[in-house]
Amino acid sequence: MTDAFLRFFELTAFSAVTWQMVVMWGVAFLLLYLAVFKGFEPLLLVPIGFGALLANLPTRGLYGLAADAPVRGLFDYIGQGVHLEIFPPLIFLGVGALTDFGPLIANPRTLLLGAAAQAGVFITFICAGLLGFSSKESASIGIIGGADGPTAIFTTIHLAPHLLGAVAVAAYSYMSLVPLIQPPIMRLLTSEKERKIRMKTLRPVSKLERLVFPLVVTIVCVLLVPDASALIAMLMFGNFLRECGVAERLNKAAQNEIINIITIFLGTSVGITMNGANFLQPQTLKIIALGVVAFGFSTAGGVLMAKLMNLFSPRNPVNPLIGSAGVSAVPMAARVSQIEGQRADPNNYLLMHAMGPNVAGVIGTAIAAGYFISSLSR
Amino acid sequence: MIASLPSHPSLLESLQFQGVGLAVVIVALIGLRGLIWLTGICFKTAVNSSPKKIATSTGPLSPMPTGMDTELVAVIAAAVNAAVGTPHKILSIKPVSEAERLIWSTEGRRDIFSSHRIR
Repeated sequence: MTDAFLRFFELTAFSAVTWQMVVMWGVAFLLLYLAVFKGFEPLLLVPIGFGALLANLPTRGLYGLAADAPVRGLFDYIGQGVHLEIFPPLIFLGVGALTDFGPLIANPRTLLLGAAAQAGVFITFICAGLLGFSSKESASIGIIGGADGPTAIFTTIHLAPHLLGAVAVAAYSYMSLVPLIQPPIMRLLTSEKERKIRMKTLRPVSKLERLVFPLVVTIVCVLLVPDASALIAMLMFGNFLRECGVAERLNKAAQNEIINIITIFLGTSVGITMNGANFLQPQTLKIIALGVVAFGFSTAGGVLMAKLMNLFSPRNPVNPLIGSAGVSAVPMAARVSQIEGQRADPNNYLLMHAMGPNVAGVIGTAIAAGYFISSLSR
Repeated sequence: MIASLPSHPSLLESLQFQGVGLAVVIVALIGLRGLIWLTGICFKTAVNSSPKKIATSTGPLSPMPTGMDTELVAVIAAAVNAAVGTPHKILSIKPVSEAERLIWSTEGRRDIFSSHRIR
């Protein structure tokens, strides 16, 4: 009888459990707790957390089978969407279909705020280099400052795939912490008088402008940074589907079914890379710490650019609070600007003004990613 | 792209690399800003140069429902003006039915939840 139980025990996976796996269960449970009970980007952190749990269980046939095996695991196949860089551009298709670029078209100078908010990306690159990361790793860590999950994943797959789990967790966790990280920086860098600045009402944007915009952006950005083609092209294609008004079924599919399915696959595939051996390294803590640096400098960059712009256009000032919305966390960063603006002046409505730099930041981060990939991957 | 970088660059090399990168992003977005501004000017010119016919009603206007506050009518007219923008004429205002009210609520909820979750 004892022999029978021992033989059965050998067939179970208990003996394959290591201490790293147990620690990673705690990490996975923490991610799931943050997502479910604290609302931290649940659409991504739930699949990532569950994927991390699966990555640290002695599963069989789920992933990690040899490339020449006749049948591989489920996540060996789904994970190809990440390794072949298919999922992030498809997410951007949905993002483009969900995004209204009207406030940006109505006030195109807010593109500068989106550009300035990439300062965090570049400063964090330097800080990561000083901490011993290679230039490719530094670029993958720096792009966290753009507050754009798909771009961060796209860049990391190209340049430092071994950091994918840590970068994705840092990027999505900090995106959800935008309402906590940004306000102190915004108040530090602005005066009460600046926070009360009321901006002129945005002009109406015609349908033709909304149709021309994605075409112009696609052509300009692809010519300038061809390595960002996949991201920019899908973002603008999704937006064109939205604005043309004659492909409503495709628009709805991009906004709903496609982005939801890809989000599930992308999140779980990223989580599957978070095995204990990769994740429980000192560099993971450094990456998480650098994520805060990246966000902070990006916020500061946008606010300071707005103040600089006001020196050149005193008759049509920009409320500096919308500069912080240049990080790509759409629409949370814009809402933070709105809330901070209303703290200073309850009758000041900055939301639509802040949407301009908010969506400009998406384009700016994609351009920054294209620059890194083109410069560092050859 | 002319910048290139060793695997572990010096601080000066990093600064140069980042300077080029930030310049690329800023120049690209300034260029886009210029193009968008130009298209805005072109379309504004095209819109202003084409004569617009203002729609006029051929029949009698529907009377306002009894009991509707004139202040409410003014607010609705202001909202329509802000949304439409171009010259227009409001032909009638009527309260929505219960079924239509539910559709608006559903659409509003769908629109909110299709975005990221807001904390």
